[in-house]
Formats: sequence, structure tokens, C-alpha cells
Amino acid sequence: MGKGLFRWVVSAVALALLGIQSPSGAAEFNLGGKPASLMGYVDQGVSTNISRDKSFDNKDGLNSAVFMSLLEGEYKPAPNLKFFVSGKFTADLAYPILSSNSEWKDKEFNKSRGALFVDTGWDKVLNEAYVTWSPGNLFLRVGKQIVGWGETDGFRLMDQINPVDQRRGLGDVEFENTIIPIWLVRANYYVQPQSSWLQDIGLETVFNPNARFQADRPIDLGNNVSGVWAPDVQVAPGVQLGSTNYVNKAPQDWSRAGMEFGARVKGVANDMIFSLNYFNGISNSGQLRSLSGPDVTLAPDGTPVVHLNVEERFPRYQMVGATFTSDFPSVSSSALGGVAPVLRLEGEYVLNNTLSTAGGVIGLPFGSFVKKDEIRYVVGVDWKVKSDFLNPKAFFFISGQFFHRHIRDFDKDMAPAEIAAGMDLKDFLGNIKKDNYLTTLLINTSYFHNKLTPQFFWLRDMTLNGNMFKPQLTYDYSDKWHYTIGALFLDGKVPQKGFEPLKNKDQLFATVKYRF
Amino acid sequence: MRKIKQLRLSTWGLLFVLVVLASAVAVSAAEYPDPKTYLPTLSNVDKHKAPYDDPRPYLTTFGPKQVLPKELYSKLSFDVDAMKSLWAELVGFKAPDIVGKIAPEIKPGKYTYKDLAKNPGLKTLMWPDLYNRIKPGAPPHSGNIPEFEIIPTRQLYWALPIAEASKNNLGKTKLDAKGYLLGDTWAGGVPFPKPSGPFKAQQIMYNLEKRMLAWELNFYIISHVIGVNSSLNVDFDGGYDVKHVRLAGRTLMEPYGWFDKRAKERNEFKTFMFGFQAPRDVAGVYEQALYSNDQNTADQLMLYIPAMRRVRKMSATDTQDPVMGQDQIYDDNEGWMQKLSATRYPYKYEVLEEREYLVPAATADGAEYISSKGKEFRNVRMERRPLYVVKLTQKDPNYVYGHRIFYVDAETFNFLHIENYNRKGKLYRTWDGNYGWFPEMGMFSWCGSLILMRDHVDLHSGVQQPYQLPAAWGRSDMSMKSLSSQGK
Repeated sequence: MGKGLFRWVVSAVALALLGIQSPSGAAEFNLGGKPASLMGYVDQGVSTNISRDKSFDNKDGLNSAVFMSLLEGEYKPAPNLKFFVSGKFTADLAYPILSSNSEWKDKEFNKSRGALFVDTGWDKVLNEAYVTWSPGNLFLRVGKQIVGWGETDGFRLMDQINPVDQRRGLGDVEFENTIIPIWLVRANYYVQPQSSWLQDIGLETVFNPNARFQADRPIDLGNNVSGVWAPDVQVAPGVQLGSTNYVNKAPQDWSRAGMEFGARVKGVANDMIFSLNYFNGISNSGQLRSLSGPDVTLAPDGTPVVHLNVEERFPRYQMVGATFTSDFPSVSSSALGGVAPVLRLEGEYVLNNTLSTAGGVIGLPFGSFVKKDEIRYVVGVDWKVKSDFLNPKAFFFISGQFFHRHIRDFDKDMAPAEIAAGMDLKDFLGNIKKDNYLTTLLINTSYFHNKLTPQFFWLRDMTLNGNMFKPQLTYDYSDKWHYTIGALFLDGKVPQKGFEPLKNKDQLFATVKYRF
Repeated sequence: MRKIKQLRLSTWGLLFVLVVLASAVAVSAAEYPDPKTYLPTLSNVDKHKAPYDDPRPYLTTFGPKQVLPKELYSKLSFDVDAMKSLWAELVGFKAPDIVGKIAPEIKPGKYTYKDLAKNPGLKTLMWPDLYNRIKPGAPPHSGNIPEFEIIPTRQLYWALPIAEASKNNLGKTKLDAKGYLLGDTWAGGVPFPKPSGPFKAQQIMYNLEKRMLAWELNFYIISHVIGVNSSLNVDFDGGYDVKHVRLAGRTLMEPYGWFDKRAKERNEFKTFMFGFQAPRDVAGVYEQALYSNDQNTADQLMLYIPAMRRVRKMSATDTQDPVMGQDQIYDDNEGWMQKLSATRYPYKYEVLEEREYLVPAATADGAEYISSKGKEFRNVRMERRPLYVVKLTQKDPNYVYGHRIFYVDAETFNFLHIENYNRKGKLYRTWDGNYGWFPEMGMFSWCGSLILMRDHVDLHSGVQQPYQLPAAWGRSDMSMKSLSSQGK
């Protein structure tokens, strides 16, 4: 390991040990007579591939050994003033461990070391850093932060302000760790009306001055870019689609082209939470357009690898939307535990969203950009139910969601041959149909006084006939130590689309987590 | 067109910032000092009373009298003789006059667990669960009491405005034909200071439901909460705070009566903001709850989840699942927070006993403490108190508890011990608390008290010694803004 990595690991462990010294693990102290605190975590995970099929995009045995540490500090010099900073360090120790492994090198996983071994660069290490001032009904937060909109879990509809980091895959990755904080100014003003029906209402505005442009960090093509998470896409039998040569057209830092603005009104009316949202920003995921024909290289094991040459743009993304959530006590049943279901609705109309043509019928893949209006919505229900037979002491939490994404005027820019062939559009690398449907189901419960939590998550891509299953078991030895084991299963029936390119990624994972 | 578009984008930011900065900072012109100007942090409290092994009587040096602004303390302090006199008139007795009949040979003095065998009267005087705790700390539960001191019984009473309201409203609070409160008939004070008649048990329970505790539930509380497994190892070490406002029947702190027009129109009873400060996985999780006065109106619950940076609507009907790692369900919050309802999990109510018991005494100095070794309760004072023992038998076979038994102080209507049994009649969870007592204020709270929660099925327990002060919060402190701004 390099000196820098060594220093970070030692620092993280030392701080964790410091945390052990205080009763609650967190360090609480006074700074200039004002309260301050430090807390964080250290996680070490491992994963191993368990797919039956061996292919260019997967590897036997150890696949990842992600070490992640986070340290966050808060300082409150005044009751309405708070400073918050967090730093994160992430390293996949599989890279040094497998550096001399022949399969690792033959399939070019080793070439992704630069991107995935250690997250360096201050924009990855400095996680959040902001100041919050909240006198009276005003709330102002300036700095590198996360702003969460929407009501959905697992995928993001209206929650488009912050980009996401999905490079570490779909295994045991905490949601909070996938959201990329960016430099924002957020201002809210709330009132609590003296009304019998409107209990709370606030205006929130968010401004991104584009101090440092950040896009999504997705699972991308190519073993040499995404490592063991690179999708298996073959342009011809035995010919792999590998990493893409990008001509990046991202907005320059501080340029007006990259600035974003969002506003929403959020309130509580008759005990129901609602919001009306508007966002005018930049697409967090790039949209691609071919520049020329692809290049071809050979991997050390002789596999031909095709590389697309594309320009990557981040077009404007504008939407209006609304959310609604409420529980329905009249639907509760004492036989099921007496808990009312909670309904979550989220919908948005996206104006002139830029997509790419999938191509392949007439012209190259990612042949051109097209603009489409879209309607997207999610219906979600959360319900806690009791089954004495299965668990006499705790409830089962069941959460289901249905997602629909409709592309208006889908065929409008297509040639008749493309329409006849049922050509898709592309949203970055994803295939988009006229109507796209997803469902999710999450079930969990706990045993032994909340010590053991089994959980099952299922995401079904109804449109592209694919599934993701993720069963896991977490043991909370204490509030400091947690242990998780689980598995991930991915399948898809439509070749080269949806989850199908990830079909060889089935894995077992385990994580040890220490909190302080 | 291009220039206008560019102008719009850049000007948005500038205008927005100007609008924000120009917004009036609205701080309510309160009659009471802003709580944030005097409330301590947990680390401040820890300097005066460490979580373990600290016998300092910290309430005499860091109690309400020392910490509250002088004008607030004055407003909440009253003539002691007047309070004693009025309260005795209301309940019909003074506790010292009616105790001492059972096991009279047990006198004030110091005792240890070794004295139990030679003083069988102690067994007669204590409820069984308390008697079984008189021993050195040992698995499976925390909260054993190896030694204690019996102090003379005191007359306890409530603050003068509470007593006056209770007297002025005597007879006005009505129950329906099934013994359930007709919500709009209760206007403040203890609804039934002399419970009697066929609905006596329910009257006692309504005195609990409308409790006058902690400055009529207008308070701030901050505490460590420690979870201990059956080997007495700490497996949960958290910190929490709560801001709490009573919205109806206010007699102690202005505004009197209803908190505001909205509370009256919506028949709101109370609201609070509960937040975890530690451990890390739940730090910044804040829950905002709003309770209705009406038994048939669903309460409201919102949760701020810092990992998602979102406010989530939760169902306030989710009351039977254990609270994050603790030895209680949501219905056991504050010891007991379940609504008395004829339709949702109704009970059959009965008074089992009216007699004196030897109970952990309300503390005026906070000298009690938790020992790090064995998680014992130390410096415990005990006092003979007249109690009601009330049994609630659940009529709905689907509720988690089959029945509950409450040990309620007959002079103050503070519950001291609650036993919760599962549907098979096995003891499931218990709650014990002794209360902080401020004689000049006529007030009980959890400030300095020792609170014990035990799970007798999973063999787990939780202890805490909170710090609590009166606080005049506003609506904005219990709002979405407050939810979002407290966390990340």
C-alpha cells in the first residue's frame, strides 16, 4: 500500500479507537465553550462471485474488499449556527491483494486500479462541508451538501439535485454513501399557519452555482474502468464491448451552463405531507452521441474488445413534480398489528429531456440526440404487519413500489425501419422503451431484541424482464459493531439490456462495520 | 433571447440570495426566555453528574433554581404552604397521615439487601418486582438496589396554578357511559383528584393521561440512555433530547387554556420533537409527534432520516414495535403513552388495591446514581406512599400486551411502576421511575430521577438518569423546519 493509503487507514483506525474511549463512542467536547462532536465509522467488506457461468466480465473468488471510513464533525458556536464537515476515505483492497493474480490481469480488471483502488482527490475525500444558520423560520445552508427530494427508495425520481456514485456496485453499499455531495446554497422559509387544515408550509430554494461540476459516477463499460462490475455486453460472439472513449462536454466549473436552480413548496395539510417541486438543472448522467466508428483492442487473454468513440454531454434537465404521503388509519387491522399503511406518491413531468438513439438499425449506436417530454411517477406503500407465527415479538416491515416512466412522442424522430424494429432510446447506457415499468419489494423484521435483522429486497424490471434479489442478514452485536452477510442475484431475459449484462455478477458479500 | 436566458440563470441565484438574506428573522417576542439561551448540552450536564458512579447531589447546584433565568424560576415557584393546603383539600388527605399502618415496625433508616430476611415487613411493603431488585447488581438485569434508606413520608403536591385549576374545574370533566373522557369537558388541571364511583379506575388513568408532570409537559429533556444485555454488558449507549409542548388545558405557563387557535380548532393535546444524539447510526434521527385530545382522531408522526436527508411520514398507529434498541414500545414512551380508547385496543379497568407501599422516593437532590459495576442503583431513598394499583386488561386479543398493572401515587397521580404482561400472562416489560421533586415549584419531573426499563422475555434492560427543565417552545420548534434543521 502507498504511504498515503497507509496514513489514511491508520488515521481512521486511530480515530475509531478514540471513539472507543467515550461511553457512547462519539467524541463530545467543548470548543471555545461551545459544543462540538466527532463521530464516524469504519467498514470493511468483502465479496466473492458465485455465478455459475464464467465469462470475461467476472472472476472466481475474491472480487472486492472495500474499506470505507468516514469522520464527521459538528460544531455549534450558537444555538442557530452549526458547522458540519465530513471526510470520507474509500479503498478497494482487492487491487493490491489481486495485483499478481493472472485472471485479474488477463481480464484487465487490474487496469481499473486507477479509478477504483483508492478514492483520491479532495472532492472525493472532502465529503460534506457546510454552515447552517437557522434563526426563527429561516433555514440557510451553504456549502458542500446533500439535498434530498422525493419519496422513493432505491431509485430516484425527483431526487436529482445530487449525483450518485455507483462504481462500487449493488452489493452492501449504504444509500448515504452513494450520494455525492455538491456545493449548493439552500434556503428555506417555513411558517406554521394558524389553520385547522394547513399545519406547516415551507418554501425551499436550492441554487447550484456550479462551483465544481460533478456528474454521476456510474457502472460504466469496460473491465479496465469498472472492474468486476463492468457489464457483459457482446457486440458479436466472443467480442466484448469495453470501455468507452469519451469526449467530455461537461460544463466548465462556474459556467452558467452548469448552474442549477430548484424550488419546492412542502407542507403538511390535514396530517398529509405534500410538495410541489420545480427543478431546472443539468442531467447528472451524461448523454452520449457517437463521433466515429469504434476502436478494437485485444485483452491479454486474446478477447477482442470494442471501444465506442462518443461525446458525452450533460444537457439541461427541467421538471415539475409533486409528492404526497399519508397514512390511512381506517385501513389498519388489529389482526395485522393495528398499523396503518403509508402511501407515498411521487410524480414529475420532465420537459425536453435529452436522450440518445440506440441506433443499430440505421446508423451507429448513439447516433443522435433527441428531446422528449416524459411522465414519471411512483406509487409506494409501506406497511408494518404482525405475524405471530413468524415473529411473535416484532413486526414485519413491507414496502412496495411501482414505477412508470412514459416517453411522450417516442417514435417521433425515428425512421420507419427503426420503428418497425422497435428501436430503443438510450439514457446514458440504459435502454428506454416508450413505457418502462419497475417494481420493488422490501421486507424486513428483527429478532432477539433487534439484534438480528433479516431483510429481503427484490427489484423487478418488468419492461426488460430482469430481476435483482438481495437477501441479507445483519447482526447488531452492539450500537458500535454490526455484521452483515448477504447475497446478490441478478438476471435478465432480454439480451444486452436491463439486468442481463449483469447476469454474471451474482455474489456473496460480508461486511464488518464499526461505528463511533 | 440568449442574453435574457443567461441573465435569468445567473440572476436567479443573486435574487434568491438577496431575498433570503432580506427575510425577516422572526424570533417570537416571548414572555418567557428563549429556551436555547439556558438549556445545557449533554456534556454540560455530564460535568455536574457523570453517567456512572457519581453521587453528587447535582440538583442542588445545577437544578432548575440554579440554571433557569431568575424571572422564569420565579414565575414557576409558589407559596409552599398554600400549595400544601390546597392540594390536601383536593385529594382529601396528606400522605404522612395515612401511611405507617402496614408493617409499622419498618422505620426510617438505612437498610441493605442483607436486612430483607430479618425484616419480613419489607416484603409486605414492596411490590414483588421491587423486592426482587433488592440485591447486588447481577445478571440478567440492571437496576438492582443493594442498599437503600427509608425516609419519612412527605406530603407531596402540585404547583399552585395546577391545584387552583383542578379545584375550579372540579366536576366539569365528564366521562361517557363507557367511562371514556368527553374530550371537550376537560379544561385543565387534574381531572379527578378524588377518583370514585364505577369508573374510578378510568378516572385514575385519565389523571395519568393528562399528567401535570414536567411543568405540564412543557419541557426540554436530555439524557444518556444505556441498554444492557443479559450479561450486563452495554450494547446500546445513546443520547437523546426532547422538546415538548402541551397544547391543551394549560394552567401553569401562558398562554393558558389552548396553546393557540389551531390547537383549539384541531383539538390538539400535545406535541413533541424527539431526537437521538448518539449512537452514530441514529444520531440526527428526529421524530415529530402531534397527539390529539380526541381518542378517535389519529395522531400524526413525521421522522427525519438523516441518511436520506428526508422527512418521512410515519404512521402514528405504529405503537407496538420496540423503540430502536430500547426495552419499550412506542406505547410505553414516558412509561405509558397509549391513548385510552373505546375503539382502538380498549381495556377493562379495575382498581386492584388502595394501600401504602414502600417506593423509590422522589428525589430533591439527584444524589442517586448508577454504578458502572453491576449497573446498580445507588443512593436510593425509599418512602412509604399511598398508592392505587390499577389493572388494565386488554380486550383486543391482537394487542402485544394482555394486561398492564400500574402502581400510581394516590397523592400525586404519578405512576411509579408499570408491569406489562404478554397475552399468555407472562411478565414482558416493566417500567420504573422515581421522579425529581422541586418543592418550591410544586413540580415533579424526570430531572435527576432513575428510570429503569426491563424486558423480562429477552432479558435486556435500559437505564437513564435524565436532566429536564421547563421550556416555553413555539410552534416553529415542533415543525418541519425544526425536524430538518436539527439533523444533517
